[in-house]
Amino acid sequence: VSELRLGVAIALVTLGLSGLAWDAIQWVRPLPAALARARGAFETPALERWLAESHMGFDADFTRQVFEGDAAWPLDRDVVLRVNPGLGAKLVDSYRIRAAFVLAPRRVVVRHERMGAQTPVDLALEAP
Amino acid sequence: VAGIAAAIVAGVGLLTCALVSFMGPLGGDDWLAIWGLKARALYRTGELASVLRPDPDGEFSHPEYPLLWPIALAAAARLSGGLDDRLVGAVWTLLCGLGAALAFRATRAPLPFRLACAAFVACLPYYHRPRYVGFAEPLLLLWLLAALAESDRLARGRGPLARFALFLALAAGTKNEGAVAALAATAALALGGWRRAALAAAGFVLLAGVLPWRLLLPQSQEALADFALGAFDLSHVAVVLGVLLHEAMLPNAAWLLGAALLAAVGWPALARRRGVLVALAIHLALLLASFAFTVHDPTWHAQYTWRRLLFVPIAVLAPVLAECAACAVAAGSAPATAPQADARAEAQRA
Repeated sequence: VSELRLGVAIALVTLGLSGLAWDAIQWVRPLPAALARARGAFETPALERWLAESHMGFDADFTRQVFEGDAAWPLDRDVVLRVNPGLGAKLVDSYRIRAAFVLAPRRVVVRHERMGAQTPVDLALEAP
Repeated sequence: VAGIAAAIVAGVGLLTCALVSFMGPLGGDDWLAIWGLKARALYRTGELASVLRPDPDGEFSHPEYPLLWPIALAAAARLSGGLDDRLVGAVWTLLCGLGAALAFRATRAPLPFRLACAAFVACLPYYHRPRYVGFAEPLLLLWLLAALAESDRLARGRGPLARFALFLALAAGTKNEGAVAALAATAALALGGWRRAALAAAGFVLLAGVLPWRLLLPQSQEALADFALGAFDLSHVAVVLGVLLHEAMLPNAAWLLGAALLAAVGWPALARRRGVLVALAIHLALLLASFAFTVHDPTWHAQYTWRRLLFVPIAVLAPVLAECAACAVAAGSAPATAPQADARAEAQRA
């Protein structure tokens, strides 16, 4: 019985660790591409890295505008996120959260305004 | 050989964690809306109140969450000269390594099993999912593993108890689940007959880990955004159990069966760690009960959170399972002396 316990324990530990290691490796396959992407973190400017990501890159013009605003505007001023009234609430939240993240600690206030069809959202400093 | 193999697996876990955390600018919405946003605000202003400014109505940033993780990130950014995704990637990898090291420290077993435990923690899928990079759970896990390592030294004097209470307070200062874990740990301590120590630790956690941010928060933002007493509905617990059954337990039945088998073959070690098991059971029961108060659709809420909620208990259970494996191997290697070794260990603990 003791030898059976030993065999079961060794088998379980071996199988468990192999399974976890295999699962971890799946996240970085193919390895050359993963290495190239990781190296890119040190060679690509922040804006370009963000644009390559689905969270921020889903609207490249907006992402550029947020980064430009962050560089130009003072930290103690709030920002207005003007959105076309037709835009869905979930998408508005998504724009607002992304803007608030980059522009922190500035407050991002959502204002519904009719704009051109090509401009779903727009950012501006809030009037004092 | 077993130790070297385990060390290699731990290395694989760390390397893949590092690659994942540098492969893209950070993970999911909770990083952008909560942790990253607060860390950026703190880094740029150095003022605690700045975390409330971007979202004064608490619509997405969870102002009621404790601030230790954003403060740690902001401090690291001050030291390194900037807060960007590369810094968070480096910190994430460091947290994975420290988690593995603390799991190693918390395991009471021969070296190969301690290394196996470290490898298990370093390879946990949580560290490798890009959408979780930047979340607070790995820091929470560090405090709880550190508290676990102190929990079986409590008989040695006041030092271990003070450190145990400190680590639990830091856990409560990292995430609200940390306060739940502290409650579970001190309750288990009290149930184990350490009532005065439990009371002292719980009092310290409340004073140092829970109350400071609660007192600083404006009254309008004190309420937990995801839970409310008025939302109480016991049927939510059944819904959440259903989600856990279908999404967590059935797809991972092999893992559950493996853990149960390991516990069965190394049951003496399991008996020695009953305090940890009681604490984990209370922790999970409290987390499950909290869903009765969710203001969200319970199915969505459980689906959105179960991986993060189970990551910490699974990692805390790892040292216990490693000790079970060590116990079974010791029994198989030297059947005549294993009970004596168990008795000796029991006597040492007493």
